[in-house]
Amino acid sequence: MAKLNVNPTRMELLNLKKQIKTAERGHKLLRDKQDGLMQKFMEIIREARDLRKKVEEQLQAAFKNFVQASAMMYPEMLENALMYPSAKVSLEVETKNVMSVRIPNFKLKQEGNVLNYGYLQTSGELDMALEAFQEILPKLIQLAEIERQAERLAEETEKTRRRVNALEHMLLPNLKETVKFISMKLSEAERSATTGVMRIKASIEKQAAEEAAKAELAAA
Amino acid sequence: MGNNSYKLAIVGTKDQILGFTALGMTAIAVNDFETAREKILGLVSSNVEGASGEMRKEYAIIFVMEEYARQLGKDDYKKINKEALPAVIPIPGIKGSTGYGRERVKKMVEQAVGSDIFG
Repeated sequence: MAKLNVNPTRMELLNLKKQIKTAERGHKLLRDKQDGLMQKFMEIIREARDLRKKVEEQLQAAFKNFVQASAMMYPEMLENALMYPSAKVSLEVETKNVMSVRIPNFKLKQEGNVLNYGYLQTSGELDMALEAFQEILPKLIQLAEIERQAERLAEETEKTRRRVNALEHMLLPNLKETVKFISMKLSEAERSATTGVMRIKASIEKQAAEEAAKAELAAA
Repeated sequence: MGNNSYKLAIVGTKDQILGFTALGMTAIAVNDFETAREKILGLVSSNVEGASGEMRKEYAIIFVMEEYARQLGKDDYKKINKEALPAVIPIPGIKGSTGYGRERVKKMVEQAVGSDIFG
């Protein structure tokens, strides 16, 4: 531990003591925040893991359907059928505040019909594949929401952890060390002042005694 | 514009995104990583006027095919993650999951906890 580079004065000592108090309070607050963040993060990350697994499986099935469907049609017709959708998706976003981290909440809004093409040139498989996609969509949105939340929380948790560690392992020990150093310096100075006074007093007394003896001798 | 609904986008190869086009997402077809990266960053920084006249992000979620998401560098993610929105989410493509999405979740745990506690 390194002590800070300050003058060993009483003024400095008082300042440092005040700083320690603030740092300790900040440390406690940050630790509480870290605990809160961690709790929330664990909640979310478990959900995210499970959901991702589920979504990936479903998505794969949907893609398989889609590939099969598209294999049965001319690519141009497939594109024609799909390129101009009447369906619309949009999201309503609300941000929630968790431990001063703003995390988004998504709400899906769907409009129109996905199967917006002529039935003549398209296959029934395509209908099914698109329906599968549509079924997945809410889950995808949910996944996006949860993963984004987890991401934000992870970032903030890391930052907070760093701050807590910096306070706990760097700032506070340094401050305490410096306070110790200054108070030792000060009491040392006090002791040396006391002994100085004692020595002076002794020598004055000795002088006075000698003068008194001389005066007695002269009188005799 | 002045409304409060955000858009969804998907970036990937053409055969992968066609299905999502029909759902009404903004689908952007790319064939190589460089264009994908450009498009993604463009979508991330795209702003529109919000309900009360303020500027806000146009897109709330951008789905990116895993193969491209994997190649995005640290600096790119820094740009992407600067604000609460949009969320850039990797999804597996037609060839199936490459495990990148799960890896990402794992990384988050490592970042937050300091070690991977789920193993």
